[in-house]
Amino acid sequence: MTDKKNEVFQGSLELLILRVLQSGDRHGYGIAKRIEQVSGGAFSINMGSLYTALNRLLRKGHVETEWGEAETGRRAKFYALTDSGRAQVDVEIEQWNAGIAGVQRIIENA
Amino acid sequence: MFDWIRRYGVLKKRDDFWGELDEELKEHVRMMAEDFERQGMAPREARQKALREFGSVDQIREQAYEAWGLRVITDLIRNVRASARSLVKSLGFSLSVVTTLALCVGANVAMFAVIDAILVRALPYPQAERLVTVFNSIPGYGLDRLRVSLPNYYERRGELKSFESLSIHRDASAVVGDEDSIRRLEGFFVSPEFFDTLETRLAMGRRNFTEEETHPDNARVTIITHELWQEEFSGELDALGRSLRLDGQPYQVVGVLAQGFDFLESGAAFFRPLASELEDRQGSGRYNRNNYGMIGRLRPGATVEDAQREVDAHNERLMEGISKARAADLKKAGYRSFVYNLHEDIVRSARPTLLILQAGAFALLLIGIVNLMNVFLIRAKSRATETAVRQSIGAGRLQIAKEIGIETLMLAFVGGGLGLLVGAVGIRMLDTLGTDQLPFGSSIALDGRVIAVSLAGTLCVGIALALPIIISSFRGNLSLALKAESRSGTGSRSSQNARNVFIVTQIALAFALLSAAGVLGLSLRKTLDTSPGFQAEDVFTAILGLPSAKYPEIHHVQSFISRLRDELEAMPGVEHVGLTSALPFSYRPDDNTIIVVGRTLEPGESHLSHFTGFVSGDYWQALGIPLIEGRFLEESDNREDLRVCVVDESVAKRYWPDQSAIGRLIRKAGERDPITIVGVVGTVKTQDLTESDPLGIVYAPLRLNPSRWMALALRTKMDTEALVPMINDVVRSIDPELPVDGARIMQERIDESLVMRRSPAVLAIAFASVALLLAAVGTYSVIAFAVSQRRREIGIRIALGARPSAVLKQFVGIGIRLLVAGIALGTVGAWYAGLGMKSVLFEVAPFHPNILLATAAILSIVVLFAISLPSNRASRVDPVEAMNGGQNS
Repeated sequence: MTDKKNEVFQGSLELLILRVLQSGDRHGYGIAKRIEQVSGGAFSINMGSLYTALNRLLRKGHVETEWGEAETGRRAKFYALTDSGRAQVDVEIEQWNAGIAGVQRIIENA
Repeated sequence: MFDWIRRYGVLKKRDDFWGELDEELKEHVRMMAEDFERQGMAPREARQKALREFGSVDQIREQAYEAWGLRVITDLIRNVRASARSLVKSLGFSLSVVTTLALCVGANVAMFAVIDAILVRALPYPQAERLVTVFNSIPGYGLDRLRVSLPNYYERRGELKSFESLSIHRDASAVVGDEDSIRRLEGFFVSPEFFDTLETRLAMGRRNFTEEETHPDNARVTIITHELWQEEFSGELDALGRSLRLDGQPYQVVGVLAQGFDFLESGAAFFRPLASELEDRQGSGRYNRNNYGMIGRLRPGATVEDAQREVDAHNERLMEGISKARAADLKKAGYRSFVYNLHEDIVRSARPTLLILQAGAFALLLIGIVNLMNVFLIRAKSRATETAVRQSIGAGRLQIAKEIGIETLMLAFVGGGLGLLVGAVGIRMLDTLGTDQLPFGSSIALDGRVIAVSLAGTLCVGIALALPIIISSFRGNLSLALKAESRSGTGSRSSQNARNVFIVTQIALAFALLSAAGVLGLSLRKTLDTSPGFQAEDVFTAILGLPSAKYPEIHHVQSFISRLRDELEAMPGVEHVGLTSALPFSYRPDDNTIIVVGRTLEPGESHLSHFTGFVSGDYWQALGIPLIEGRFLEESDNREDLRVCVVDESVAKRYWPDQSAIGRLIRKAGERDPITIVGVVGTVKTQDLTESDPLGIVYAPLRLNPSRWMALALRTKMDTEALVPMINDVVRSIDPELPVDGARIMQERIDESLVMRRSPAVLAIAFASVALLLAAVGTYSVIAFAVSQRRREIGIRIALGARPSAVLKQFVGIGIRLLVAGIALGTVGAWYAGLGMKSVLFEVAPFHPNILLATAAILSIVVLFAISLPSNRASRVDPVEAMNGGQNS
């Protein structure tokens, strides 16, 4: 495996997925690829974590799936944001920022 | 909320879920591989790299599924399915377990439904725990339990601080309807705040009568039930203010009660103000005419004891206002008023019997459980090899325990579910045994509460059954089990001991149940053998109540009676016709204090009360009550200038034990003129075959004991179907607006009075039979198992020359030791059962040696038979087969 790359922070994966889906519906592989690309290769994604996170989002109702035709011309399962998912992106980003700010303060002042 | 719906969707379509996930992941890997190819790799290499980077597909699948949090549920489903399969495989075992449970649980469900409806469930009034009843008692007059008097009510009302509200009521009944739909309805005279006390809800109008309406001139108003409103006014809203005809007189409807109200299940349909003259409402009359039921609502926080103290103090104060002699007499006679919780008071007589039966049902359940524990242990033992093998190849003990638990719980719930069905059928059967005649008996039902308690009970049973096996499977030494089964051929000592303890317990419980059933049965037998004092065969009875509006004077009643008798006596096949207001096994007759003229009271003695009733025609001949001395009353005794009566033997013996009662004079308290005794007739039981110490009856002509309520008694060989229409026609020809009630043969009345004796005995015998069967099955299975466990040993012994009879003796010996221990322990149980039943037994000692002997004999025969079957098989073991074959025989 790609040892040197960082694993995505625990708990942030759901946010990343939601954010990636904001720019359009994607299948699982597409999501993983997009996260790696945009992060400039800083993150690699464990597939187990990816599918766990996707199923958790399905369970929460933030995303829904539909089988569609992928760029390969074959059938693939596409994930799309639901209304609640769209709202959740902002919530999660806010939480994330608040968390980061907190961490930052501790790093600087502790 | 939606979370659950989505999870359920996945759970339900698990297979689709897995399929789609598989496809999705495969496609993922394929896309990865294609990307690698695009980067220049060879297809094969690309695919391998993709697979490597992707990771374990199986693991990812599992993780993705994990996100739904369904693992526990899916595992459970799988385990349940596996258990179900294994239970179906051993169908005989499963069926026997389920049947045992269904019977035992069913008995308890039915009994609990009865207990719940009668003893547990609160009365159907708001805060019913604050409702109490008050009644008087004058034991010295022979009156342990009276109702209360009118002054009791008016003098206590508003005076006693413990009561928020106090009310009295008295039965009334009235004829309602047109000539072609004539019928008698039950009702009550009630004091103004009666429904306030009960906090009854209304459909419309008002629920109180006014004080004005308690004066006889203004009392033509009524409050009716919802049901009567529907029947008589078709539920029309303008019924208020309209009038309802009761006994031919119009009563203005001022209120309609809420639907379903039924005062203590009396079926009463109308309520009228309890009207009285002002002078009757207070004074020394308070100690007489105790004809009213009193119900009070305690103030919040006040206890029954508070109320009792206050009533006692109030009674004490009132005693100061009467003559010293009267007060001394009343005190000597033990005059007292008691305050009881209303619900407890109503169910008091049914309570001990019901608790005894519940205890019996519970004992049955215990026997069933113990039996099943044994069966389960034996099964676990016979599967010990399988279990040990599975453990040795890595099955966790937890997994095995889980399987046992699930299997047992499944059996418990199937058995328990069937038990509910058995219980439902049982409740129906109880109905035919007469439970509907118990207080609140008509509300016995398999409702949500009973079902919930039953299911909870079933869960406990399941756990109780599973625990010993789980414990023993945890403790069980693996290698030993493997060895024991294959080599040494003898069971482990501790589990054999456990099985023996169980079997002894079972025999003991069955013994206690059997002997209890025997004692109850004997008590019933003795009751049935008790003569009521008359010959009930061929006696037909019916009740008539003449409305006072139509029969205002006693001579109106007299002429009705004369016409009726004439008509009936003329009927072919009727031997004797009589009328009375003191028919046994019907309503309680009036009682009056009787003073024997010329007799001085001993110190500490009071004037006694006796039942009084009128008799007309051949009443005693119709009932077959013997004439002991003197003569019966005759038509001519009804003359103005005659005052004669007939007393029963108990009255005669009480006052003139060694002399003749004929010609003696008695008088009713409150009357001046004496009455001459002209005859003595046999004593009859009035309410119950088991009553001892009869109150005694003074029979007189109608003029001396006037009553508009009367019972008709016919001695005839005609059957009921023919008689009822004939009597109806005769009565209608005299008074077309008079319904005939309670038409039935005398034996039926006696049978109804036996409901609290017959049904318990029948039930106890049913419980005991099942218990006996279970004990037999239990002993059989234990001995059979012991035999199969020791086949090898037996085979060797027989091969070495042991006689089959010695082998037989060995196993029968084991069985007998268990039996003797069980009976010894059971005798102790029977002792306690007897103590518990003491209060409901009639002329039978609770601990009856003959019954114990008979019980021991029956139990021994059945158990020995159960032992003999496997023991016999043991003695016929073929040594060769035993050495070669497996353990399964």
